[in-house]
Amino acid sequence: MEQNEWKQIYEAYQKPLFLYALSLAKNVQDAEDLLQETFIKAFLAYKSGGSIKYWLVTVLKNEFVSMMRKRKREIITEDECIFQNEASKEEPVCERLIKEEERHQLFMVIQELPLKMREILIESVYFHMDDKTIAKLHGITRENVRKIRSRAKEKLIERYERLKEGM
Amino acid sequence: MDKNYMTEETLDKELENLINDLPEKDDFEQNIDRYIKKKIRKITVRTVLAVLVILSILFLMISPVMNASFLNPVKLEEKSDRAFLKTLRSYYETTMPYVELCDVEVKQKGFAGYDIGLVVSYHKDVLRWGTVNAQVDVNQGKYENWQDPNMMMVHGPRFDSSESEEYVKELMKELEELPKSAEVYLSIRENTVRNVEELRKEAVELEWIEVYQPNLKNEEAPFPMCGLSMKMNAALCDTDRREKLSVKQLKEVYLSNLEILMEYPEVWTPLGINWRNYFFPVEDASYIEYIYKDAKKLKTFQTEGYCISGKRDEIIAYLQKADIASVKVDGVRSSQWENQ
Repeated sequence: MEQNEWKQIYEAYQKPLFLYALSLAKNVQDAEDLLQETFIKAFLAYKSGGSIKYWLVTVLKNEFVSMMRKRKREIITEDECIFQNEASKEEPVCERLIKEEERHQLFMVIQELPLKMREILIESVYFHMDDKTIAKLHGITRENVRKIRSRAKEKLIERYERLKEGM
Repeated sequence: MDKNYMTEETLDKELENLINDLPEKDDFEQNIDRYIKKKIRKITVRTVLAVLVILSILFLMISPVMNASFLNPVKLEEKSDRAFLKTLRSYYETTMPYVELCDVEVKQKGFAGYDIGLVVSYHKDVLRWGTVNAQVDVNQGKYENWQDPNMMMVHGPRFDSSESEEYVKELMKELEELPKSAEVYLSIRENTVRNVEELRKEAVELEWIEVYQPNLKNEEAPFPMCGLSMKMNAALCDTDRREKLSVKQLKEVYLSNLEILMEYPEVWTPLGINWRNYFFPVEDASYIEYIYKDAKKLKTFQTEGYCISGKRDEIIAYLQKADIASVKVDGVRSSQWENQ
Protein backbone atom coordinates (compact mmCIF):
# COMPACT_ATOMS: atom_id res chain seq x y z
CA MET A 1 0.00 0.00 0.00
CA GLU A 2 1.34 3.44 -0.92
CA GLN A 3 2.14 6.03 1.72
CA ASN A 4 -0.50 8.36 0.27
CA GLU A 5 -3.15 5.74 0.79
CA TRP A 6 -2.00 5.39 4.40
CA LYS A 7 -2.35 9.12 4.83
CA GLN A 8 -5.93 8.88 3.65
CA ILE A 9 -6.59 5.94 5.97
CA TYR A 10 -5.07 7.88 8.84
CA GLU A 11 -7.24 10.90 8.15
CA ALA A 12 -10.34 8.76 7.83
CA TYR A 13 -9.87 6.62 10.94
CA GLN A 14 -7.73 8.56 13.36
CA LYS A 15 -10.71 10.11 15.19
CA PRO A 16 -12.84 6.95 15.49
CA LEU A 17 -9.77 4.99 16.53
CA PHE A 18 -8.78 7.62 19.06
CA LEU A 19 -12.30 7.59 20.52
CA TYR A 20 -12.19 3.80 20.65
CA ALA A 21 -8.77 3.91 22.33
CA LEU A 22 -10.03 6.54 24.76
CA SER A 23 -13.02 4.41 25.65
CA LEU A 24 -10.71 1.48 26.42
CA ALA A 25 -7.77 3.21 28.05
CA LYS A 26 -9.73 5.99 29.75
CA ASN A 27 -6.83 8.36 29.65
CA VAL A 28 -5.56 10.58 26.89
CA GLN A 29 -1.88 9.62 27.03
CA ASP A 30 -2.53 5.89 26.76
CA ALA A 31 -5.13 6.50 24.06
CA GLU A 32 -2.60 8.48 22.01
CA ASP A 33 0.01 5.73 22.46
CA LEU A 34 -2.49 3.10 21.42
CA LEU A 35 -3.46 5.10 18.35
CA GLN A 36 0.13 5.44 17.26
CA GLU A 37 1.01 1.80 17.99
CA THR A 38 -2.03 0.70 15.99
CA PHE A 39 -1.18 2.77 12.95
CA ILE A 40 2.47 1.78 13.02
CA LYS A 41 1.62 -1.90 13.29
CA ALA A 42 -0.91 -1.57 10.49
CA PHE A 43 1.53 0.46 8.39
CA LEU A 44 4.29 -2.12 8.81
CA ALA A 45 2.30 -5.33 8.66
CA TYR A 46 -0.98 -4.82 6.80
CA LYS A 47 -1.31 -6.59 3.49
CA SER A 48 -3.92 -5.43 1.02
CA GLY A 49 -6.91 -7.67 0.73
CA GLY A 50 -8.66 -7.70 4.10
CA SER A 51 -10.87 -5.03 5.60
CA ILE A 52 -8.70 -2.20 6.90
CA LYS A 53 -11.34 -1.24 9.49
CA TYR A 54 -11.40 -4.79 10.82
CA TRP A 55 -7.61 -4.86 10.86
CA LEU A 56 -7.28 -1.53 12.68
CA VAL A 57 -9.85 -2.41 15.35
CA THR A 58 -8.31 -5.82 15.94
CA VAL A 59 -4.81 -4.36 16.24
CA LEU A 60 -6.06 -1.64 18.59
CA LYS A 61 -7.72 -4.13 20.90
CA ASN A 62 -4.66 -6.40 20.89
CA GLU A 63 -2.40 -3.47 21.64
CA PHE A 64 -4.63 -2.48 24.52
CA VAL A 65 -4.53 -6.00 25.95
CA SER A 66 -0.75 -6.17 25.69
CA MET A 67 -0.41 -2.69 27.20
CA MET A 68 -2.46 -3.76 30.19
CA ARG A 69 -0.63 -7.04 30.49
CA LYS A 70 2.60 -5.14 30.66
CA ARG A 71 1.23 -3.18 33.56
CA LYS A 72 0.06 -6.37 35.21
CA ARG A 73 -3.28 -4.89 36.05
CA GLU A 74 -5.39 -7.45 34.34
CA ILE A 75 -8.44 -8.72 36.20
CA ILE A 76 -10.57 -11.36 34.56
CA THR A 77 -14.23 -11.60 35.48
CA GLU A 78 -16.68 -13.96 33.83
CA ASP A 79 -16.26 -13.83 30.04
CA GLU A 80 -15.09 -10.32 29.97
CA CYS A 81 -11.79 -8.69 30.52
CA ILE A 82 -12.04 -5.58 32.56
CA PHE A 83 -8.92 -3.58 32.77
CA GLN A 84 -8.37 -1.20 35.55
CA ASN A 85 -6.45 1.77 34.45
CA GLU A 86 -5.14 3.79 37.29
CA ALA A 87 -4.84 6.93 35.19
CA SER A 88 -8.60 6.94 34.66
CA LYS A 89 -9.05 7.97 38.27
CA GLU A 90 -6.72 10.88 37.94
CA GLU A 91 -8.74 13.24 35.76
CA PRO A 92 -12.01 13.45 33.83
CA VAL A 93 -11.02 11.55 30.72
CA CYS A 94 -11.71 13.93 27.90
CA GLU A 95 -12.76 17.14 29.53
CA ARG A 96 -10.01 19.02 27.78
CA LEU A 97 -10.67 17.30 24.46
CA ILE A 98 -14.44 17.54 24.24
CA LYS A 99 -15.26 21.11 25.09
CA GLU A 100 -18.97 21.13 24.38
CA GLU A 101 -20.68 20.22 27.66
CA GLU A 102 -23.52 18.10 26.30
CA ARG A 103 -21.22 16.02 24.08
CA HIS A 104 -18.87 15.56 26.93
CA GLN A 105 -21.79 14.21 28.94
CA LEU A 106 -22.66 11.93 26.06
CA PHE A 107 -19.14 10.52 26.01
CA MET A 108 -19.31 9.93 29.77
CA VAL A 109 -22.54 8.01 29.28
CA ILE A 110 -20.92 5.89 26.58
CA GLN A 111 -18.12 5.15 29.01
CA GLU A 112 -20.64 3.80 31.51
CA LEU A 113 -21.83 1.13 29.06
CA PRO A 114 -20.53 -2.42 29.55
CA LEU A 115 -17.38 -3.09 27.56
CA LYS A 116 -18.83 -5.28 24.83
CA MET A 117 -21.82 -2.97 24.35
CA ARG A 118 -19.50 0.01 24.11
CA GLU A 119 -17.25 -1.72 21.58
CA ILE A 120 -20.09 -2.82 19.34
CA LEU A 121 -21.62 0.66 19.43
CA ILE A 122 -18.32 2.33 18.44
CA GLU A 123 -17.59 -0.24 15.73
CA SER A 124 -21.03 0.23 14.31
CA VAL A 125 -21.42 4.02 14.58
CA TYR A 126 -17.88 5.24 13.97
CA PHE A 127 -16.37 2.52 11.81
CA HIS A 128 -19.56 1.80 9.92
CA MET A 129 -18.84 -1.91 10.18
CA ASP A 130 -21.57 -4.24 9.07
CA ASP A 131 -23.08 -6.69 11.53
CA LYS A 132 -21.31 -9.64 9.93
CA THR A 133 -17.86 -8.12 10.53
CA ILE A 134 -18.72 -7.10 14.09
CA ALA A 135 -20.09 -10.59 14.77
CA LYS A 136 -16.84 -12.11 13.52
CA LEU A 137 -14.80 -9.72 15.61
CA HIS A 138 -16.60 -10.67 18.83
CA GLY A 139 -17.36 -14.29 18.03
CA ILE A 140 -21.13 -13.84 18.33
CA THR A 141 -24.08 -14.02 15.91
CA ARG A 142 -25.29 -11.16 13.75
CA GLU A 143 -28.59 -11.24 15.61
CA ASN A 144 -26.74 -10.74 18.87
CA VAL A 145 -24.84 -7.81 17.40
CA ARG A 146 -28.10 -6.17 16.37
CA LYS A 147 -29.66 -6.75 19.80
CA ILE A 148 -26.63 -5.47 21.72
CA ARG A 149 -26.38 -2.34 19.57
CA SER A 150 -30.08 -1.67 19.94
CA ARG A 151 -29.87 -2.12 23.72
CA ALA A 152 -26.81 0.13 23.82
CA LYS A 153 -28.65 2.92 22.09
CA GLU A 154 -31.70 2.48 24.33
CA LYS A 155 -29.49 2.71 27.39
CA LEU A 156 -27.71 5.73 26.00
CA ILE A 157 -30.97 7.57 25.35
CA GLU A 158 -32.34 6.61 28.74
CA ARG A 159 -29.23 7.62 30.70
CA TYR A 160 -28.64 10.71 28.63
CA GLU A 161 -32.22 11.88 29.19
CA ARG A 162 -31.89 11.21 32.91
CA LEU A 163 -28.66 13.13 32.98
CA LYS A 164 -30.17 16.08 31.20
CA GLU A 165 -33.12 16.17 33.60
CA GLY A 166 -30.66 16.48 36.46
CA MET A 167 -28.75 19.32 34.83
CA MET B 1 -31.15 19.39 21.18
CA ASP B 2 -34.53 19.07 22.89
CA LYS B 3 -34.77 16.56 25.70
CA ASN B 4 -38.35 15.66 24.72
CA TYR B 5 -37.38 14.54 21.23
CA MET B 6 -34.42 12.23 21.81
CA THR B 7 -34.80 9.43 19.25
CA GLU B 8 -32.35 6.93 17.78
CA GLU B 9 -31.87 9.25 14.84
CA THR B 10 -31.01 12.25 16.99
CA LEU B 11 -28.72 10.06 19.07
CA ASP B 12 -26.88 8.96 15.91
CA LYS B 13 -26.51 12.59 14.96
CA GLU B 14 -25.19 13.49 18.41
CA LEU B 15 -22.75 10.60 18.28
CA GLU B 16 -21.55 11.77 14.89
CA ASN B 17 -21.06 15.29 16.24
CA LEU B 18 -19.17 13.94 19.23
CA ILE B 19 -16.40 12.64 17.02
CA ASN B 20 -16.22 15.90 15.13
CA ASP B 21 -15.53 17.58 18.44
CA LEU B 22 -12.27 15.69 18.81
CA PRO B 23 -9.20 17.64 17.76
CA GLU B 24 -7.26 16.59 14.67
CA LYS B 25 -4.13 14.64 15.46
CA ASP B 26 -0.72 15.54 14.04
CA ASP B 27 0.41 14.77 10.57
CA PHE B 28 0.67 11.04 9.84
CA GLU B 29 4.20 11.15 8.46
CA GLN B 30 5.43 13.18 11.42
CA ASN B 31 3.85 10.71 13.79
CA ILE B 32 5.37 7.72 12.04
CA ASP B 33 8.75 9.40 12.00
CA ARG B 34 8.55 10.36 15.64
CA TYR B 35 7.32 6.93 16.60
CA ILE B 36 10.08 5.10 14.70
CA LYS B 37 12.72 7.32 16.30
CA LYS B 38 11.24 6.60 19.71
CA LYS B 39 11.22 2.87 18.98
CA ILE B 40 14.83 2.94 17.78
CA ARG B 41 15.85 4.76 20.96
CA LYS B 42 13.98 2.21 23.03
CA ILE B 43 15.50 -0.73 21.14
CA THR B 44 19.00 0.77 21.40
CA VAL B 45 18.69 1.31 25.14
CA ARG B 46 17.27 -2.17 25.60
CA THR B 47 19.99 -3.74 23.46
CA VAL B 48 22.74 -1.93 25.34
CA LEU B 49 21.20 -2.95 28.65
CA ALA B 50 20.81 -6.54 27.47
CA VAL B 51 24.42 -6.66 26.32
CA LEU B 52 25.56 -5.24 29.66
CA VAL B 53 23.45 -7.77 31.54
CA ILE B 54 24.78 -10.63 29.41
CA LEU B 55 28.35 -9.45 29.88
CA SER B 56 27.81 -9.16 33.63
CA ILE B 57 26.34 -12.64 33.74
CA LEU B 58 29.23 -13.97 31.69
CA PHE B 59 31.69 -12.24 33.97
CA LEU B 60 29.97 -13.34 37.16
CA MET B 61 29.40 -16.92 36.06
CA ILE B 62 32.18 -17.81 33.67
CA SER B 63 35.03 -15.86 35.23
CA PRO B 64 34.94 -17.73 38.58
CA VAL B 65 34.72 -21.08 36.75
CA MET B 66 37.73 -20.15 34.62
CA ASN B 67 39.61 -18.86 37.65
CA ALA B 68 39.02 -22.21 39.33
CA SER B 69 39.99 -24.25 36.24
CA PHE B 70 43.32 -22.61 35.48
CA LEU B 71 46.37 -21.49 37.44
CA ASN B 72 45.13 -18.96 39.99
CA PRO B 73 48.06 -16.95 41.41
CA VAL B 74 45.69 -14.86 43.59
CA LYS B 75 44.39 -17.96 45.36
CA LEU B 76 47.91 -19.35 45.79
CA GLU B 77 49.16 -16.04 47.15
CA GLU B 78 46.35 -16.01 49.71
CA LYS B 79 47.73 -19.19 51.26
CA SER B 80 49.73 -18.66 54.43
CA ASP B 81 53.01 -19.62 52.76
CA ARG B 82 52.38 -17.47 49.62
CA ALA B 83 52.58 -20.59 47.47
CA PHE B 84 52.86 -18.72 44.15
CA LEU B 85 55.91 -16.70 45.22
CA LYS B 86 57.41 -19.70 47.00
CA THR B 87 57.10 -21.95 43.94
CA LEU B 88 58.36 -19.41 41.41
CA ARG B 89 61.25 -18.52 43.71
CA SER B 90 62.18 -22.19 43.93
CA TYR B 91 61.75 -22.60 40.16
CA TYR B 92 64.18 -19.81 39.30
CA GLU B 93 66.66 -20.85 41.94
CA THR B 94 66.57 -24.42 40.68
CA THR B 95 66.83 -23.66 36.97
CA MET B 96 68.68 -20.35 36.53
CA PRO B 97 71.80 -18.89 38.11
CA TYR B 98 71.81 -15.30 39.36
CA VAL B 99 68.00 -14.92 39.24
CA GLU B 100 66.41 -14.52 42.65
CA LEU B 101 62.72 -13.80 42.87
CA CYS B 102 62.12 -11.72 46.00
CA ASP B 103 58.46 -10.82 45.69
CA VAL B 104 55.46 -10.90 43.39
CA GLU B 105 52.53 -8.52 42.97
CA VAL B 106 49.45 -10.23 41.56
CA LYS B 107 46.47 -8.38 40.09
CA GLN B 108 43.36 -10.22 38.96
CA LYS B 109 41.91 -9.26 35.56
CA GLY B 110 39.12 -11.85 35.35
CA PHE B 111 38.58 -14.84 33.05
CA ALA B 112 41.69 -16.55 34.47
CA GLY B 113 43.84 -13.56 33.55
CA TYR B 114 46.36 -11.94 35.92
CA ASP B 115 49.04 -9.25 35.85
CA ILE B 116 52.15 -10.44 37.64
CA GLY B 117 54.75 -7.96 38.80
CA LEU B 118 58.08 -9.60 39.65
CA VAL B 119 60.60 -8.18 42.09
CA VAL B 120 63.84 -9.80 40.99
CA SER B 121 67.23 -9.48 42.55
CA TYR B 122 69.69 -10.11 39.76
CA HIS B 123 72.89 -11.25 41.38
CA LYS B 124 75.11 -10.00 38.56
CA ASP B 125 73.81 -6.47 39.16
CA VAL B 126 74.24 -4.17 42.10
CA LEU B 127 72.34 -5.48 45.10
CA ARG B 128 68.93 -3.93 44.75
CA TRP B 129 65.37 -5.08 45.21
CA GLY B 130 62.02 -3.81 46.40
CA THR B 131 60.42 -2.56 43.22
CA VAL B 132 58.85 -4.46 40.37
CA ASN B 133 61.46 -4.82 37.62
CA ALA B 134 59.84 -7.45 35.41
CA GLN B 135 56.27 -8.20 34.46
CA VAL B 136 54.33 -10.99 32.87
CA ASP B 137 50.69 -11.83 32.19
CA VAL B 138 49.17 -15.13 33.17
CA ASN B 139 46.32 -16.00 30.83
CA GLN B 140 44.51 -19.26 31.26
CA GLY B 141 47.49 -20.89 32.90
CA LYS B 142 50.05 -19.63 30.39
CA TYR B 143 52.76 -17.00 30.88
CA GLU B 144 52.59 -14.36 28.16
CA ASN B 145 53.82 -10.86 27.32
CA TRP B 146 57.05 -10.85 29.25
CA GLN B 147 58.42 -7.43 30.07
CA ASP B 148 61.96 -7.92 31.22
CA PRO B 149 63.98 -4.91 30.01
CA ASN B 150 67.16 -6.03 31.81
CA MET B 151 66.93 -9.50 30.22
CA MET B 152 67.26 -11.04 33.66
CA MET B 153 65.09 -14.03 32.98
CA VAL B 154 66.56 -14.88 29.59
CA HIS B 155 68.38 -18.16 29.64
CA GLY B 156 71.83 -18.36 28.10
CA PRO B 157 73.57 -21.67 27.33
CA ARG B 158 76.30 -22.63 29.76
CA PHE B 159 78.46 -25.61 30.80
CA ASP B 160 78.05 -27.31 27.41
CA SER B 161 80.93 -25.97 25.30
CA SER B 162 84.40 -27.53 25.20
CA GLU B 163 87.23 -25.10 25.45
CA SER B 164 90.89 -25.73 24.71
CA GLU B 165 93.71 -24.75 27.04
CA GLU B 166 94.63 -22.00 24.58
CA TYR B 167 91.17 -20.52 24.79
CA VAL B 168 91.38 -20.41 28.57
CA LYS B 169 94.78 -18.75 28.37
CA GLU B 170 93.45 -16.23 25.88
CA LEU B 171 90.54 -15.50 28.18
CA MET B 172 92.88 -14.93 31.09
CA LYS B 173 94.87 -12.48 28.99
CA GLU B 174 91.74 -10.55 28.20
CA LEU B 175 90.70 -10.55 31.83
CA GLU B 176 94.09 -9.06 32.76
CA GLU B 177 93.18 -6.04 30.70
CA LEU B 178 90.23 -5.31 32.94
CA PRO B 179 90.60 -2.87 35.83
CA LYS B 180 91.69 -4.48 39.04
CA SER B 181 88.41 -3.63 40.69
CA ALA B 182 86.37 -5.37 37.98
CA GLU B 183 83.82 -7.97 39.11
CA VAL B 184 83.74 -11.00 36.84
CA TYR B 185 80.97 -13.59 36.62
CA LEU B 186 81.77 -16.97 35.09
CA SER B 187 80.00 -20.26 34.36
CA ILE B 188 82.49 -23.13 34.63
CA ARG B 189 82.37 -26.84 33.99
CA GLU B 190 85.36 -28.81 35.15
CA ASN B 191 86.70 -32.08 33.83
CA THR B 192 86.30 -33.63 37.22
CA VAL B 193 83.34 -33.46 39.53
CA ARG B 194 83.93 -31.24 42.57
CA ASN B 195 82.68 -31.53 46.10
CA VAL B 196 80.62 -28.49 47.01
CA GLU B 197 82.24 -28.31 50.41
CA GLU B 198 85.66 -28.03 48.80
CA LEU B 199 84.45 -25.42 46.25
CA ARG B 200 83.07 -23.20 49.00
CA LYS B 201 86.58 -22.85 50.40
CA GLU B 202 87.93 -21.36 47.18
CA ALA B 203 88.90 -17.69 47.10
CA VAL B 204 86.01 -16.82 44.78
CA GLU B 205 82.33 -16.34 45.47
CA LEU B 206 80.36 -19.48 44.64
CA GLU B 207 77.11 -18.17 43.14
CA TRP B 208 75.20 -21.20 41.95
CA ILE B 209 75.81 -24.91 41.48
CA GLU B 210 74.30 -27.50 39.18
CA VAL B 211 73.85 -30.43 41.54
CA TYR B 212 75.66 -33.44 40.18
CA GLN B 213 73.44 -36.51 40.02
CA PRO B 214 75.40 -39.30 38.27
CA ASN B 215 72.29 -41.35 37.56
CA LEU B 216 70.85 -38.49 35.52
CA LYS B 217 74.07 -38.13 33.58
CA ASN B 218 73.95 -41.78 32.64
CA GLU B 219 70.56 -41.32 31.00
CA GLU B 220 70.67 -41.91 27.23
CA ALA B 221 69.06 -38.64 26.23
CA PRO B 222 70.18 -35.32 27.76
CA PHE B 223 68.44 -35.06 31.09
CA PRO B 224 68.24 -31.63 32.66
CA MET B 225 69.84 -31.31 36.05
CA CYS B 226 68.74 -28.87 38.69
CA GLY B 227 70.67 -26.42 40.73
CA LEU B 228 70.89 -24.42 43.89
CA SER B 229 71.83 -20.85 44.61
CA MET B 230 74.70 -20.56 47.04
CA LYS B 231 73.75 -17.07 48.14
CA MET B 232 70.46 -15.27 48.45
CA ASN B 233 70.00 -11.52 48.73
CA ALA B 234 66.55 -11.59 50.31
CA ALA B 235 66.36 -13.73 53.42
CA LEU B 236 62.71 -14.77 53.37
CA CYS B 237 63.45 -17.68 55.72
CA ASP B 238 66.37 -19.01 57.79
CA THR B 239 67.56 -21.33 55.05
CA ASP B 240 68.14 -18.31 52.78
CA ARG B 241 71.28 -17.47 54.75
CA ARG B 242 73.17 -19.95 52.61
CA GLU B 243 76.68 -19.03 53.72
CA LYS B 244 75.79 -20.20 57.23
CA LEU B 245 74.45 -23.57 56.10
CA SER B 246 76.40 -26.80 56.12
CA VAL B 247 76.56 -28.92 52.97
CA LYS B 248 74.05 -31.29 54.51
CA GLN B 249 71.68 -28.41 55.08
CA LEU B 250 72.25 -27.16 51.54
CA LYS B 251 71.21 -30.55 50.26
CA GLU B 252 68.06 -30.29 52.40
CA VAL B 253 67.29 -26.91 50.82
CA TYR B 254 67.79 -28.44 47.37
CA LEU B 255 65.36 -31.25 48.19
CA SER B 256 62.94 -28.82 49.74
CA ASN B 257 62.89 -26.73 46.53
CA LEU B 258 62.14 -29.86 44.50
CA GLU B 259 59.31 -30.73 46.91
CA ILE B 260 57.80 -27.29 46.39
CA LEU B 261 57.97 -27.74 42.63
CA MET B 262 56.28 -31.12 42.95
CA GLU B 263 53.53 -29.61 45.09
CA TYR B 264 52.56 -26.84 42.65
CA PRO B 265 53.48 -28.02 39.14
CA GLU B 266 50.80 -25.76 37.60
CA VAL B 267 52.92 -22.72 38.56
CA TRP B 268 56.12 -23.63 36.75
CA THR B 269 55.38 -26.35 34.14
CA PRO B 270 54.10 -23.75 31.60
CA LEU B 271 57.58 -22.18 31.75
CA GLY B 272 59.35 -25.43 30.84
CA ILE B 273 62.99 -26.06 31.74
CA ASN B 274 66.05 -24.45 30.20
CA TRP B 275 69.16 -26.53 30.69
CA ARG B 276 72.51 -25.97 29.05
CA ASN B 277 71.77 -25.69 25.31
CA TYR B 278 68.32 -27.22 25.51
CA PHE B 279 64.78 -26.27 26.26
CA PHE B 280 62.55 -28.98 27.71
CA PRO B 281 58.81 -28.49 27.58
CA VAL B 282 57.31 -30.00 30.72
CA GLU B 283 53.79 -31.35 31.09
CA ASP B 284 53.77 -32.45 34.69
CA ALA B 285 55.94 -32.84 37.75
CA SER B 286 57.08 -36.39 36.96
CA TYR B 287 60.47 -35.15 35.79
CA ILE B 288 61.05 -33.33 39.07
CA GLU B 289 59.82 -36.36 41.02
CA TYR B 290 62.43 -38.48 39.27
CA ILE B 291 65.20 -36.01 40.13
CA TYR B 292 63.91 -35.73 43.70
CA LYS B 293 63.91 -39.49 44.27
CA ASP B 294 67.41 -39.75 42.86
CA ALA B 295 68.66 -36.74 44.85
CA LYS B 296 67.44 -38.27 48.12
CA LYS B 297 69.85 -41.16 47.55
CA LEU B 298 72.86 -38.89 47.04
CA LYS B 299 75.57 -39.59 49.55
CA THR B 300 77.73 -36.67 48.48
CA PHE B 301 76.84 -33.15 47.41
CA GLN B 302 78.82 -32.47 44.28
CA THR B 303 78.82 -30.31 41.20
CA GLU B 304 80.22 -30.46 37.71
CA GLY B 305 79.04 -27.07 36.47
CA TYR B 306 78.85 -23.98 38.65
CA CYS B 307 78.87 -20.18 38.58
CA ILE B 308 81.43 -18.04 40.38
CA SER B 309 82.16 -14.38 40.79
CA GLY B 310 85.14 -12.42 42.05
CA LYS B 311 87.61 -9.64 41.49
CA ARG B 312 89.75 -9.81 38.36
CA ASP B 313 92.82 -11.25 40.06
CA GLU B 314 90.84 -13.74 42.12
CA ILE B 315 89.18 -15.07 38.98
CA ILE B 316 92.43 -15.29 37.02
CA ALA B 317 94.09 -17.12 39.89
CA TYR B 318 91.20 -19.51 40.04
CA LEU B 319 91.26 -20.20 36.30
CA GLN B 320 94.95 -20.95 36.46
CA LYS B 321 94.54 -23.82 38.85
CA ALA B 322 91.12 -25.19 37.76
CA ASP B 323 90.79 -28.11 35.35
CA ILE B 324 88.47 -26.27 32.95
CA ALA B 325 86.34 -28.10 30.42
CA SER B 326 84.00 -25.20 29.62
CA VAL B 327 83.99 -21.58 30.59
CA LYS B 328 81.63 -18.75 29.76
CA VAL B 329 81.78 -15.15 30.86
CA ASP B 330 78.33 -14.31 32.20
CA GLY B 331 79.11 -10.71 32.97
CA VAL B 332 81.69 -8.11 33.93
CA ARG B 333 81.19 -5.04 36.08
CA SER B 334 83.96 -2.49 36.10
CA SER B 335 83.69 -2.23 39.87
CA GLN B 336 81.37 -3.19 42.68
CA TRP B 337 80.24 0.47 42.77
CA GLU B 338 79.04 0.46 39.18
CA ASN B 339 75.50 1.84 38.76
CA GLN B 340 75.28 2.68 42.46
